[in-house]
Amino acid sequence: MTGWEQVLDDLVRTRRRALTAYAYLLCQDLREAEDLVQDALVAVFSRGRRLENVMAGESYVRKAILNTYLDGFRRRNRWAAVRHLVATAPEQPVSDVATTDHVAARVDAQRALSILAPRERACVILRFYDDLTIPQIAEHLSLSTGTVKRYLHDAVSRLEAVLGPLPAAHLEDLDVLMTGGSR
Amino acid sequence: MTQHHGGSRPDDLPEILRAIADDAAASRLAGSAPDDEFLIGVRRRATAVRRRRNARQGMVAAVCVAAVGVGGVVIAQNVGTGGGAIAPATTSVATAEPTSGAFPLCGAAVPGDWAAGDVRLVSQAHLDEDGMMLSASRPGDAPFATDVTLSELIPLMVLNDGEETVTVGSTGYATVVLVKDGVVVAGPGMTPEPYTEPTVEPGGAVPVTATLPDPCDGEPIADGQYEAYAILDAQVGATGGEPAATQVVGGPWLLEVGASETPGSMMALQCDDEVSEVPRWVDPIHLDVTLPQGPAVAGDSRALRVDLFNATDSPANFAIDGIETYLVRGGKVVASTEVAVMPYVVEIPGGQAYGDGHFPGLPSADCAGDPVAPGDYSLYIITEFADPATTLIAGTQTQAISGPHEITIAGDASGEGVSNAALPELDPDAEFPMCGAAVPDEAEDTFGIETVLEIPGVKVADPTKPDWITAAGMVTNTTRDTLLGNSSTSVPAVLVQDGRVVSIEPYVEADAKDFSVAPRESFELEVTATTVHCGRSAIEALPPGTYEVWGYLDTYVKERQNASGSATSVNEKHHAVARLGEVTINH
Repeated sequence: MTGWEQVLDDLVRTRRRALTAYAYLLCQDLREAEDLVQDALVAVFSRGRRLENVMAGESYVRKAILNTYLDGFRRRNRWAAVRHLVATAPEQPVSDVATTDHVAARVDAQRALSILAPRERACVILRFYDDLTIPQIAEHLSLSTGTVKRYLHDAVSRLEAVLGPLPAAHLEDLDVLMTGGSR
Repeated sequence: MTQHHGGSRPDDLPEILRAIADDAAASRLAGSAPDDEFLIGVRRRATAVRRRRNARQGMVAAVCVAAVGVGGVVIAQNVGTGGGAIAPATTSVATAEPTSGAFPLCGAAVPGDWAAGDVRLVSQAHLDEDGMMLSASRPGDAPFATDVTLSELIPLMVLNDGEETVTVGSTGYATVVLVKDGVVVAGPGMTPEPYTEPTVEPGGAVPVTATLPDPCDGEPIADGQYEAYAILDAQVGATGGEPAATQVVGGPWLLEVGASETPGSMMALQCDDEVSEVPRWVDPIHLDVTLPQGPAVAGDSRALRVDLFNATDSPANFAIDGIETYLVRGGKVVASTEVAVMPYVVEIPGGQAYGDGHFPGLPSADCAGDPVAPGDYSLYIITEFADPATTLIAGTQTQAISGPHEITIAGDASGEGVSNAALPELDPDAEFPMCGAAVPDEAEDTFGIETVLEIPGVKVADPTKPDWITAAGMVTNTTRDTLLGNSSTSVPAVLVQDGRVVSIEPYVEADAKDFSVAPRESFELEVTATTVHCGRSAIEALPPGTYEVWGYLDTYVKERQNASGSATSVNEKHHAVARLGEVTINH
């Protein structure tokens, strides 16, 4: 097995579910998330880039997932045209500690995410899931920091229209680096 | 209007996002194909791309030599459907192999004691003469025409035909398998892992989704007649009681796969129907229709908003199948469109409207298939409802009707003009190239994109399938120095109407390109834009019309060489914005 194949093998076996979860946050569709992960893996591991280990590979793959998602509007065309007419399937966590409120909040959040434009959603995920700062998001998406702030401002406003107030997500807080572990 | 669930509200967005991601990670689908199989697919594709890339790099080197030899630059154009096509997504789906496993696996025989209970799966695939939904086909029933390869599967519901209210906890996805000569020939497909636990009252029903069967031999399902069996693994129990693992089953239904005759339109009205033939149903659901301000554009999917209003004092649950829009002239239907939605149940509180507005859209073509002629029409909106608590058991649907509304269709189907009402408004706070932003003044830049585009037109046949626009652009050195540096290999561009951005920014994964260009000389980059309307939450194409194409590019100059040949290291970023040309979009 060549070097890139070994890293790919390790990455899939140890981080596939986490990568799929990340893709799911962006696309809101498990099947599409699987496709996104596969496309991203192909994109990263077909470039001949030297990847030392799983951590380096995952970083590239996450970025490729983001790019593929933002670039891949075609595959969502039909669904996107009708999704606002289709009720979000009520999903419950598999955990048995779930409560009705817990589920309701999550369904609301998924519905709220679904109304965001792709780039807005990408900014939200990078900011509030990946814990990136505004400059880091700007670099990730090749945007200016002002544009990122605008996307986040618009996105948070639209999320609040569905979820109610999100006091921790306001612009004045956006430059504060939030802490969080690796997912 | 939005609905908020009671109880704790998600005010911690990171926590909510993590919870959603954790659910996705824990689902069966996330990792549905075994890792080994998944890896094989990735390795095969990645290796193929590596080989193609190596071969292409050899070709590129040869072409570069040839270009220098002739001393000229060819401006290539690649417009429309071919350019920038993205390979279709592939899903790792395990091919069902013949097996001697238990039903419903491939190759297994249907159990001799197959029978549906009081809580069972029923389908509208077969309705008897009274409109009753059947849990299974009966001798003499005509098969339900379908095309399994297009996911046009039978609609399924869990019907509670017992005497007590039960909860039915399941993924909401019922396994459907196809049987021929008593043996499974298309086995269980993949199922996502959401979990729902609806309550079903006696006589009530809730919809579930049918999964797509996987052909056992890996080949497309051959045309012909099959029996469909459906199985839903569920936790069924009386409300408040302890649920028990149960297989809720239904079928067999006769299916005619690949039939030339499709199930046919389920629309309430057909072309040339008299509107007076429509039965009027007013209670308990009203349709509140918001009409466009002024003339509307045919085919505009956001021109109309429909809100479902519960006119009673008590909450109502309804299953919705579709929303139909009709244009009527002379008392007859002359154009129609339907937004088919998967049947789903919504709960509407008494005296309130359902939270999400619906956007059924206007027809783009008339009954003859021609563009809808400009002029005045009467508009009718019809939505089919089924009350899962009562109506579904009788298999009949009711229709809520709103109309007639007077509406004017604008006369711009030729594409020469574009209704501003259909495009995003100018947003003074937006920064180019964001949606609605004003285009900047074309300031002189020492390193600019020159206008070279003559794009004749883009045909967007289906507004729900927007397209890419690609063309060659030239970047010209307008300084007196020779410049060395790099830029992206692609120039992103947006479409502009009346001075503001109306298409989404294209996201182009491009490589860096090194350049060395003498004064007044140019180098070529690909220009990429999309026809995607930036003012819509759904993906849809811009309306027909002529648009300006504006490109923007950052270039990084690392070295300047003056006329005398002396070189200076620099670190300059040049941001160029330019009107590149025009493009016409036709539907």
